Amino acid sequence: MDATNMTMITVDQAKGLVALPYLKTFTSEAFFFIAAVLMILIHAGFLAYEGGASRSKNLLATMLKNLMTLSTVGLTFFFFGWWVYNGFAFWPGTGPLLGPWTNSDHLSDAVKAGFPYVQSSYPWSDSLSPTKGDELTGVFWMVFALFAMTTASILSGACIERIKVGAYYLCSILLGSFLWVVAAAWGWNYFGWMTTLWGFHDFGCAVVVHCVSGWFTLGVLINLGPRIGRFDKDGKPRPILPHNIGLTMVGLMLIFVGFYFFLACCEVYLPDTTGTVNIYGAPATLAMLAVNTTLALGAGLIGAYVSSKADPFLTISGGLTGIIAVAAGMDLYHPALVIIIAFVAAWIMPKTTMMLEKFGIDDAVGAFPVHGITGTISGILPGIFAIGYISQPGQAPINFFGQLGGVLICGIGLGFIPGYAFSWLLKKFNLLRVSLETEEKGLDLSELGIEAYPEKATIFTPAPSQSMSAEKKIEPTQPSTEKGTYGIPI
Amino acid sequence: MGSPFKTADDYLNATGTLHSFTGHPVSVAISLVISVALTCYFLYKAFVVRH
Repeated sequence: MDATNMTMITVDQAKGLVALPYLKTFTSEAFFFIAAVLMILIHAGFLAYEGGASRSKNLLATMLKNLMTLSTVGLTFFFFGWWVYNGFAFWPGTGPLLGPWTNSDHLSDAVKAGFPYVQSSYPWSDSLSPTKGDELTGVFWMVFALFAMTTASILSGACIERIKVGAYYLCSILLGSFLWVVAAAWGWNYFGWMTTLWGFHDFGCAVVVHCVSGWFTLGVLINLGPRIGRFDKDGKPRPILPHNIGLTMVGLMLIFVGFYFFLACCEVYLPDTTGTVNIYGAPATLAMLAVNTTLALGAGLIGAYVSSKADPFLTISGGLTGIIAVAAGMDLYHPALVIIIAFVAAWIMPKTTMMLEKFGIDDAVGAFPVHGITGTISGILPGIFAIGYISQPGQAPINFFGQLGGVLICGIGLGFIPGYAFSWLLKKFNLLRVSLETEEKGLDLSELGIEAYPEKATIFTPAPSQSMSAEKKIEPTQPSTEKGTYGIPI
Repeated sequence: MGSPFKTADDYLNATGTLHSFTGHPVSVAISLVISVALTCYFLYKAFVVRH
């Protein structure tokens, strides 16, 4: 060794160098852990959003249904969802379906490279247990589990106030732990065949999460039918007003915050790499995400504000619409383009909401327009505004037909058709919708035996002609009538 | 409006801008003008919109 190149270091400096490999791993581990925990804000937001959008007689049942998504999807994503993401990546385009039955000796080099991830995704894998041998798979699992819960929660809001909770739980498992995961395996995966063969690009999960869940929701809503009183005898829509729109708006604000972390988790930061990359391994920065997400939020809000004539519910939904509209290609869009796309998509959203009503579809929170339609638009746009990018050598470039094909497979093949078919099956066995009596009385009293605002009886003001004895005869748990529990027209 | 990179390696090893308007200042300018116009349109509508 050349003595002139030797550098003397202190003992403390030497200790620091020894700790460096651990610190590199810990930085990545901590980044994903913190971002995943903060993604739970999305679910706090959905819970408040849906609770506010429901009538008071259904508030607790609505919130409980949403809350239990954490269980139904969280558990089943551990049982098989994480494996689906890794095992389905190559099949049926570039390789076999990978699982415990796979003999790695028979795999091509490309498939063999992805096989260790499959082996670490089984619920009995050491990578998901307490181990010093793998400190990253667990945090990646949590990120994906939170993505899965988000996907299922999109369905939750649309079918409030009349779906049987058991039916929702089954739908949430099918959607959250299987269908969107298949879409992600194919189109939001370094090894995914849609990416490799078609150049499909979906940076922020606009297609694999929003498009899939939005179209799945539409399929369910067709079989579920509208809430009682949502349409008159001539089929003309009648508004069912949120019982607490303030709660709804705060909920969406929480969703906005959570989505920053959702998108942050769409970037991958690993030890021993020289920068953050997207899921396809191509460069993407948090700075890009900070600028483009904020602009999309702002432009989406004003687009919906103008289009809906300042309707508070639709305006705040426009913010989310704007973010989803640019999510697929935001890593490749100039900020000025982001503003235009987000504005236009959010301007369209209230129009599609009204169009849906004309078909007799009761989408209580606008899930299909916000997630289904916008996710579809978002997925196609990289094929227009970001063509030609090649994320890996040998891979197809981003192109219009690749994007369109991916959107059709995800939206129709993995969203609408399974959603319609599964809910049709549940309907045939009378498992989909609550009874007429339950719906009229309210799900809180009928299914939970309590109501969210029991003190309402004590604030009732009797008419001057009523005596105290008449007041005592008032039923505190009076079911809703044609005029609604609080006189809100339904 | 497309990739400014000819190959995957160019893209993966990029050190400058990544967006699809790279090298197209006219596209950036037009988009900015439209963005400002949309914002002004919103401000105008704020005075006249009544639900």
